[in-house]
Amino acid sequence: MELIERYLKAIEFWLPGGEKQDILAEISEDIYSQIEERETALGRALTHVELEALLKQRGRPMLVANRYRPQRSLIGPDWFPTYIFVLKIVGFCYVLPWVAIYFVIRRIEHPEIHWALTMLRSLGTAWEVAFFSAAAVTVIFGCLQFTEAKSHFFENWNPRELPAVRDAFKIRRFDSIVEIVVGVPFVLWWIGFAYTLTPFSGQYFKLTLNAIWFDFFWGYLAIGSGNIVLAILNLRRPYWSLPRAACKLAGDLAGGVFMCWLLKANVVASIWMPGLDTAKAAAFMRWLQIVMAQSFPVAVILVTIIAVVDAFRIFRVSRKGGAGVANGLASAVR
Amino acid sequence: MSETTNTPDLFENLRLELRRGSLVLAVLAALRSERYGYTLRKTLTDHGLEIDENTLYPLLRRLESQGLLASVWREENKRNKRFYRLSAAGEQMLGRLLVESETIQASLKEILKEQHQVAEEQDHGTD
Repeated sequence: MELIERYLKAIEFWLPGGEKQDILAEISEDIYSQIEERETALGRALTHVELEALLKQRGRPMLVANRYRPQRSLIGPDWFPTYIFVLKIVGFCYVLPWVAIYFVIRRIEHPEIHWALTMLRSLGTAWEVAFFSAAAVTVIFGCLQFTEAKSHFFENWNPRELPAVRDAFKIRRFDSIVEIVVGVPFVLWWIGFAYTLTPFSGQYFKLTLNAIWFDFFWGYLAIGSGNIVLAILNLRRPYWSLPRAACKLAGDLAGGVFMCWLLKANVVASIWMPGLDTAKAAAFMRWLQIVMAQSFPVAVILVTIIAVVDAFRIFRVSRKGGAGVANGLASAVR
Repeated sequence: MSETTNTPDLFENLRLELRRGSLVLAVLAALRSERYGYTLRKTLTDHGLEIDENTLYPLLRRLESQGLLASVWREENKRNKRFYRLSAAGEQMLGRLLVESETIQASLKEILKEQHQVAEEQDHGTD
């Protein structure tokens, strides 16, 4: 019976203070009643193994004791889905960008270190950011849960304050207008500013580019103009959500490929500043080339992330319902 | 029909959920006569309402703290046992809960009867 004593002692540790002995006495009585009944049925005393099995079947002492405590949780079922949602947002919008920015800064500061090592270091420090962010979110939700009884947050709400239902397949007019308002000045500025091999040619600084720059100029001009045309089309065809998502993927991929190429293409021909001698200018050019070359993997990662997000958008739009997409396509060809 | 609707786990979960609500009623009803925990558990099991000790004893304490049960420690067969019995408030509560339970059963029967009639009418319609 030493095993039973050990079992009861283990339960006692987790029991609520005031009722410990009372609860233990009742559990003990129940165990002995069960043993007595089994022994009567078998006509012999229980073996050590049978007793062990009987206790095991009753459950782990901590769990047995917990049943006698009021049910408590740091974050209850009402708040938990929101808690997970906020954690995801913090992960994607804070922790991941933080790692990316840390990586870029480290690359610029120490271009001589291999990019894979810098990435490993960035990921190594990421857990600290992730840990403290998750802890902060948990504390906030713990406080919300703790004050819920007083604040009555879930009871105090007004149906009129709910957001309006949005047609998932309809491209908002506002979005298209914003794209046009931003895109047109950009394209005009791009034509006026970038169609030259000396975009900066002042009294104190002169930057001369190689002829390959014009390839980038036309490439970006095509992408910018394409986006404006798409936005104008979307004003007329608000249900063109799937083709629009596909065009966005193509445009972003093209822009990303151009960006990666730019970093590798040795586009800067020379730099001039008053007082900058040839040796210093050459050293600066070398440094610039190294930084651009070292930034290539970062650009590849960014382009990949953007492409994945765009591809996910296509998947989401097409998954949200064949009927909606079919309507969109029908509207697009009308 | 989806595969998950046939899994024994799902049935077991739903069965437990269904029974959980009836357990309080069964415990209160069984304690119209005085019993200690172990015999109460045996009685419920014998009547097809199996309940494990980790559910029963905390439930008994909760019902007692709510004033629905009264308990007393007494020696029987050379062992101290805690005997429970329905209190006056518990008797009243049991009556109200039984009425509620019967109402639920009657509503359920009514719904099933209605559905059966609709199904029969549809069958006749297709013949």
